[in-house]
Amino acid sequence: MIHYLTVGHLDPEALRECAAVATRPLDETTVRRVLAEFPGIKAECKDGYMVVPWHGLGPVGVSEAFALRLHELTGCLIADRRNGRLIEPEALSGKNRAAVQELSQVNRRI
Amino acid sequence: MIGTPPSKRSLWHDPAEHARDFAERYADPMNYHVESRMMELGIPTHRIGARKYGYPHRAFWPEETTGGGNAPGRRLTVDSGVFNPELMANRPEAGEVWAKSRLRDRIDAIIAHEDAESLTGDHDLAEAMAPDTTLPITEGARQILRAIRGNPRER
Repeated sequence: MIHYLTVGHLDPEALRECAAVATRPLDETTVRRVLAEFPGIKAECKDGYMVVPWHGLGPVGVSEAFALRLHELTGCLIADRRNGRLIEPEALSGKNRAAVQELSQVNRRI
Repeated sequence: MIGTPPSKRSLWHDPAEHARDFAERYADPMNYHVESRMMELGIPTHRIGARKYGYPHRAFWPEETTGGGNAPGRRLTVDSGVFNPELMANRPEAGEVWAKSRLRDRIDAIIAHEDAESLTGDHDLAEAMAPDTTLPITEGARQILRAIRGNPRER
């Protein structure tokens, strides 16, 4: 009914059984950098991966953009852990991709 | 800080945690009930419940808090979110209907939603389709699903 996005270097085998197991932790510096780009995001740090609210928990755009940004910088996976499935970055909306590109350009200028 | 610090507050200031605690204590009868209800609604046996890493096959997952899920193979589950009156607190209209609904209606609504989502693979499409499900769910469950579909901007 409600969904969370799980972002990290996840084990696809464990994910198929609805578990999040990080094969290696996300780079802390990158995570801090991305968190700074999305002030106010309700991201939760777990054992080497991040969880952000998604469907049914407010606007999805910021969470999707956050997940895409982490994916872009670390090559990590994006998953709907509760439902045991990987989410292709391309499946997240083009609007969010545009938001990520815009944020990247702003950051490059900074 | 003003007032009692969170670490000193009773657990039940968090409705999701309260629901999870209740669900853990009544996990077995709930699992039996959810399995029976899915059978009554005509969900094929092989899609009733799912296995989670480290747990046996179950239709009711008390440790989860999202209401329900659809695992690979279109396997449907219900979880402790069914007891949480604030599960949809972010969605004013649907949240109000959900909070006032009976448990039997919430269970049916979750099953219908997850069934639709397992078919479409898309949450928004499932919200749009679920109220018109062919599953013989209760009228109360359809009211919940219609309230969820009511305002797509709240999604």
